[in-house]
Amino acid sequence: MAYKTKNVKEIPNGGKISTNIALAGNPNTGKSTLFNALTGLKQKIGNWSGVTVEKKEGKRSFNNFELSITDLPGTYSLSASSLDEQIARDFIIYDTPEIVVQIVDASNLERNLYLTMMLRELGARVVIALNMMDLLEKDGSSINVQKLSTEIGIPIVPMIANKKIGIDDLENAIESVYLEDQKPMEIKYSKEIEEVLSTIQKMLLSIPSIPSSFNLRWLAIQILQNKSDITTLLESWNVKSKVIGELTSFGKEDYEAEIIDSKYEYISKVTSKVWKKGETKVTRSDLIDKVVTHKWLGIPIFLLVMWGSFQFVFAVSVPFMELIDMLFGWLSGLLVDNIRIEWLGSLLGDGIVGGLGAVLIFVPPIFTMFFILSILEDSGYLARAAFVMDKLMVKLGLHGHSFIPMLLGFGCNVPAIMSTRSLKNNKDRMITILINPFMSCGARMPVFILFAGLFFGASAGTVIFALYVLGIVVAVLTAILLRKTFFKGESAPFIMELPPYHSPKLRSATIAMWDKGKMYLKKAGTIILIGVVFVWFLAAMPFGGVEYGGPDTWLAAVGTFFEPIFRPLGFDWRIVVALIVGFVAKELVVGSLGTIVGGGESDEGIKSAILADEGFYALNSLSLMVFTLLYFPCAAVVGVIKKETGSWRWTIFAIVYSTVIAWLFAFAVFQIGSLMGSGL
Amino acid sequence: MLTKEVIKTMNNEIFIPLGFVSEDKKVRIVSIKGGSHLRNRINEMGLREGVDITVIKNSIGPVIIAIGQTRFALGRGISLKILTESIN
Amino acid sequence: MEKSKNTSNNMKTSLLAGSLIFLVAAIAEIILGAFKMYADSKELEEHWVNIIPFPPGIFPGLVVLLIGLIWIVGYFVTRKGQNANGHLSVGTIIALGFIFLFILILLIDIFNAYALGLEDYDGWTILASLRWIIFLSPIPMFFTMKYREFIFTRKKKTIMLQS
Repeated sequence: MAYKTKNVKEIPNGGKISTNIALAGNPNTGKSTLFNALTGLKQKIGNWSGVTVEKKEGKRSFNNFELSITDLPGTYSLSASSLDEQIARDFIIYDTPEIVVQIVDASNLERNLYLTMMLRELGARVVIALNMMDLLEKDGSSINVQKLSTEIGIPIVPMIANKKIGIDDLENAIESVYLEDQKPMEIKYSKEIEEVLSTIQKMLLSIPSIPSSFNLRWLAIQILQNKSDITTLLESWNVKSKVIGELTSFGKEDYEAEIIDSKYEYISKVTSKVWKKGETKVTRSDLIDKVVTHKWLGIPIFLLVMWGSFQFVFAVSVPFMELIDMLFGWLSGLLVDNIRIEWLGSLLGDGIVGGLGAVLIFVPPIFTMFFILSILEDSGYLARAAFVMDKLMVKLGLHGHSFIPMLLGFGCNVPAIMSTRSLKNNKDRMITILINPFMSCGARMPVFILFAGLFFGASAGTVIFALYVLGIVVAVLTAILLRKTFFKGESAPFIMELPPYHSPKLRSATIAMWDKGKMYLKKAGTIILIGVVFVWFLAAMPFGGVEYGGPDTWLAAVGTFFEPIFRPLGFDWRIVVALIVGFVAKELVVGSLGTIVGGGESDEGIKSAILADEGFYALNSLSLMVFTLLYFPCAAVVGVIKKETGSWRWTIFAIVYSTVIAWLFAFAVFQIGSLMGSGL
Repeated sequence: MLTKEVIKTMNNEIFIPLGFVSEDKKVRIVSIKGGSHLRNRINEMGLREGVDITVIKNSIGPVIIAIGQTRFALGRGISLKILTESIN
Repeated sequence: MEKSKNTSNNMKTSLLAGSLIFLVAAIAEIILGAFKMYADSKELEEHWVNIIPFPPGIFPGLVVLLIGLIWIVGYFVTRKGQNANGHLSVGTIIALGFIFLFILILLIDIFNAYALGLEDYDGWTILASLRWIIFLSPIPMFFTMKYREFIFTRKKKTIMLQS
């Protein structure tokens, strides 16, 4: 541990002080509200190293301080029983933020202070932001802030983060803690535990391989709680057997329950002096919950909210999509017609501008989808959706928690798979990750819109709806299959905090939309651009004399090679090529079909070219849509599956399994359709 | 209250699994069954022996309970592992 | 005490009346919607369903139906002497949400039809989109004004538990 026991610093005259602090706290305490209030739009979103858990960083300057603020995942404790807790704990140990600001929900003091105890035990210097002070009176409770602060030796700043009240005081508290010292806090455990602790601590001290920066008392407490990742750490120092041997000499291996109890006992002792508990009253949120989780009304209300959300997404995005289509169609034509060097004109016009247009056209629906999901989450409804779906999910061997990633999958599978990190049980998490690609993401929509629109006329909407349902059905069957084979066992118990409802804030929804949508724009600017140029290149080679995208190009050669496999599905080489290119990004399926079939990249051009082409008809377009829905996930999703499962085996399983399933379903559609000699 | 589900202890005290407590009733947690890992995680979330809770909703699906201002949804399975006694 | 009893009686009547009107309207919309689908499939352009002012449509009908159901469940809850603020609020908020959505769609439709001149909008009229809003609005608006404190208040209205 890099925390020095004496930490008095002088402010250099006129000089800037740059320091890094972390923001910790329980879920639903207003942590992201405080983070937004502190950093405004000066935020940077990245990933925690090694895992794809979202990491938010921001900056704030005041007086002569320049703070770098890291937002830790919301956790109840630091016992590392989930990925979130592990990340938060490791950040404090290894990145040693100068100060940890813990946001505490004033109406739930005891449980929040539990995390405070863990932070202090770890050696972090803590400032408490006591949030939601305005809600205290509501239930008749009160806190003697001054006395509490003295009792636990931590500065406490009362605040109302969503009204930005108390920010100045928080700055002052951070400044004073930075300059002064905070006495390390020790919770006294029972005599027995203290004895074991001191023995182990002494022994750890004599082991040279342990870095001197580690807080040995903390380490000893973790050893007493038999934490598996601490055991791994001991192993890496080659002291595991020695330490465990010492522990067993006391005749007990796990003191975790007692340690948790002791912390809570200490907290109760403190809070009994300073906190007047309120009465639990039925609130407006409870009355709403009785309706939205009602045994008959719950699911219909959920479906209605989803239907309304989809309507919103489509209504808002259509005009923007039209505008983007017009713009890129015009620009593409302009380049092709006016650049003298033919291949350059074709590269810029057909390849880059056309291809980018085919991708950027999906920016509006994806942004709106993130916007509406953020509104649903902020309002508190998304947690209720998980609640309502719990009964159904239990039948699949999962529970309500797994439902939210599935829902997010309709937007994009990448953030959806990332969001599974909050699942505590590893088997649940694996199943939820592996079924997620079957939830039809926004990038597959253009294929459906194009072909359903062309060949199914008035029933296009029904066809698309049926495809979404098919995706869900395959996901459900896969979940049952996986639970019965590779991931046997009970799912983790379902426990979820239901945050009170509040009206969503336009500002935070916009920030969330922009942050998440940005990832998509980045993808368009990098991997998709490269893919587009690559397709153009294959479609134009070999140089000289070949028709762009025609049957003599290299592109055709690739397609023809794989064509026999796809013949029974009714696909010719051109569809095969488009599907393969879809691995780069599903958005490219339509774009590259446009390249190959001709008719430019604009929506209208592709439509008329396909209608005039004998290689496309209702039945094979249906099997194409089914195949597109189910086949191997795009590169980004494959990457995220690898990272989140940590296993190549399961990543390859996901690719092969989905493709086989897709082939079987598309085969069934095409062959049954042909047999019926249908008039499709 | 279904008498069948009521569990009697040695001292004839009546402990009721949370899943069978009717709505709007206030109860105290007396014990949490199940493995130590599960118990420890629940304890850390503030659901501990001796804590008073109010049942907000209990029909089908998960149970909603209140501890102070916090609301938790607990799955059916876990709600049967939490034993409570009524308080007046 | 007397006042709160009045309020709850008041709400009971509101819930019953509101839900009955919505349920009847919903059934009418759904039946008309089914007729319209049939008429469209036969490509009968000048079908009577398209001419009467009442808007046909299965999905929007289901929205109205569900709001009606939420309110009627609320009515039965009040009859048991329990609090139905939640039912009134949820039904009204959903209705307001859809009114907002329909207005948004109307504005976007106007933009698509006149500014962009999209083909799909041949034969579309403002009235076609507008009548949804006209038929959905009055009761939720009335509830919002009358019970604003129940629907939107974040403080005050809490009820002591029976213990």
